[in-house]
Amino acid sequence: MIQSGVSQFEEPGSGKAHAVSDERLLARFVSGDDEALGELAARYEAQLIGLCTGMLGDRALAMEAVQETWLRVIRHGRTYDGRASVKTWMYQIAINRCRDLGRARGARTKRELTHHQRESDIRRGRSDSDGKTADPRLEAAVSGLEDHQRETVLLCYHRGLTHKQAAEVLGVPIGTIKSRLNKALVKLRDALGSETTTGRGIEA
Amino acid sequence: MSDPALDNIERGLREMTEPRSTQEGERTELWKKALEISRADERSALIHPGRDAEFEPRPTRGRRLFLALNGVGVAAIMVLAAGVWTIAINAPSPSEQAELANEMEAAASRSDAMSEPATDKPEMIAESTESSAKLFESSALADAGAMEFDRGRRQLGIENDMIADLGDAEDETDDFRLRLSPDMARSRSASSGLEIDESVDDAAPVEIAARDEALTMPAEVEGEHPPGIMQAPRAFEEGRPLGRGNAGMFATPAIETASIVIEVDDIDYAYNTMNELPQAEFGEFSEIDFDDASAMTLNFSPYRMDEALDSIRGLGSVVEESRKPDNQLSRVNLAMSNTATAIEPIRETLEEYGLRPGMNEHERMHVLGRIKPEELVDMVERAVADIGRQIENAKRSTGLSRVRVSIKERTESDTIEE
Repeated sequence: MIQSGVSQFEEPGSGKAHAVSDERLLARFVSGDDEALGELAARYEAQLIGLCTGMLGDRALAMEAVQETWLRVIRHGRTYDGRASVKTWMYQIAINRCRDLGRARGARTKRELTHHQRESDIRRGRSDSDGKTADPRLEAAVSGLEDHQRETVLLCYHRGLTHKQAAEVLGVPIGTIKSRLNKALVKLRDALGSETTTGRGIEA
Repeated sequence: MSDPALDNIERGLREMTEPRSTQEGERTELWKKALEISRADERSALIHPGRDAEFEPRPTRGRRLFLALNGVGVAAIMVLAAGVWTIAINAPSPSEQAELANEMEAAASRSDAMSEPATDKPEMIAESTESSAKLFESSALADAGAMEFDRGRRQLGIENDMIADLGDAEDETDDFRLRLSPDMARSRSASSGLEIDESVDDAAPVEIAARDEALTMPAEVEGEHPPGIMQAPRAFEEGRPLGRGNAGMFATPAIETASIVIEVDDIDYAYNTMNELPQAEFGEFSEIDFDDASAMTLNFSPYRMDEALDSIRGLGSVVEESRKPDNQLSRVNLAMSNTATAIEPIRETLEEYGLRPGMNEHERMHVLGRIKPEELVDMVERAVADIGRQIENAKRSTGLSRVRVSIKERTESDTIEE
């Protein structure tokens, strides 16, 4: 639990330290301080949108998923039992929202369509609204992965989550994360056409 | 060794999930929308039964429980009332009660008359009431006589050991013999020629148990029944197997270190099954071997070692297996090493907050800036709690056995590993 312990004091991905832990902020929000929720959002909302966009391949759906995530945090914050860190808990909710939305709205199809749209946008020289571009071939390859492999690979390469936290979010042991990650990377490399035949171990 | 293809994949994957805001350059506000929706839902859920007469609120959980308890109470009262009513209906009327009393009296008189030797004669049976009165009077006299006799014995210093005073014929009865005090038993055995070992009489139970002859069972009993818990030490000495009264469960098994390599068809299934094993005290894999993606070390309670190994073997075919006794010193060493590694990041974080030896308050405030003291205390408390948890885990792990499990998939899956 050390990594999660450290994450309580550091802003994810920035290395900047926070004086107030996520758990403390949630407790403050539950006791009526809405600004505490705003502080939590400042820490995690952009990250959740990034992750959900990667999961769903659709920014609008991703924002819907994140908004529903906040709704659940607001409604169930009182029942948060502290078994997992607040961060892991919120990611779990977000992943579940992505699964629900993906199932309900044919996310796979939409993701592929979005991918084609994005590819054509990129060809026209447009970029993502944040100015961030992703390799469309890679996105297509990721969308071809099995659901559990896609979730694993996106969570593990998502900035701000350690492999251990990814395992907690998905509710599987870290060994499973490692095996899934290995398999997914092999598939992605095969799908993208390997330029070299030499391999390397995956760092945890 | 760097693989450009993998580097590109990893870079691309990071970009795919990069943090993004809702609008370019703007801070995200989805939480505010969610908060508004939630507040609106709460407002719409507010109930005013007086204002809205048609509204029928759904009972809350507590209310449902209250209603259920009320229902149970009413049902119990009804059952009770029904029982009272049934008893009242079936109760005999006063005339029936009188008749019943007469019948019972007559029956009692007849039985008295039959048990009384002096009532052989028919005329005495007819005078049953009179004879009953006489019988009562005579038994009262007998009781008074017995009490007088007892009082006389006590005045003469004679103990009330009437059972011990029984004759030899009565002494043959085991029930009576069990009630003898040791002194009485000695006196009686002397008179009857029996010998009782004085040392057994005065010895503590443990000393008696230590005497083989004191516990020696008849040969046929020993042969029929395997030794129980009390006889376990002797069973070990004599090389006999333990029976159902197995003392093994009371012994502490030795700490062991095992290593097992298995080949499985579905590696995910194997990992997940292992995670569900009732392993040790921890809810997760104790240690992951980062040099070998498929290997991990699990901590098990020594009591569960055999069961755990059986479960692991059942996941696939065993390629290699070894097992050797471990000692607690090596486990302590390992636990200290793991704890030091685990605590290091916490220590570094604390130092970033200026909590390191030799730092004065001015320097600390310079590092901390505008952090409120209570927030700093909160953070430190969490860090200390984390350290405490690590140390507690280390302490518990010193009494656990370890199994290093390496899982290989039958199909070649580790092509990208060096």
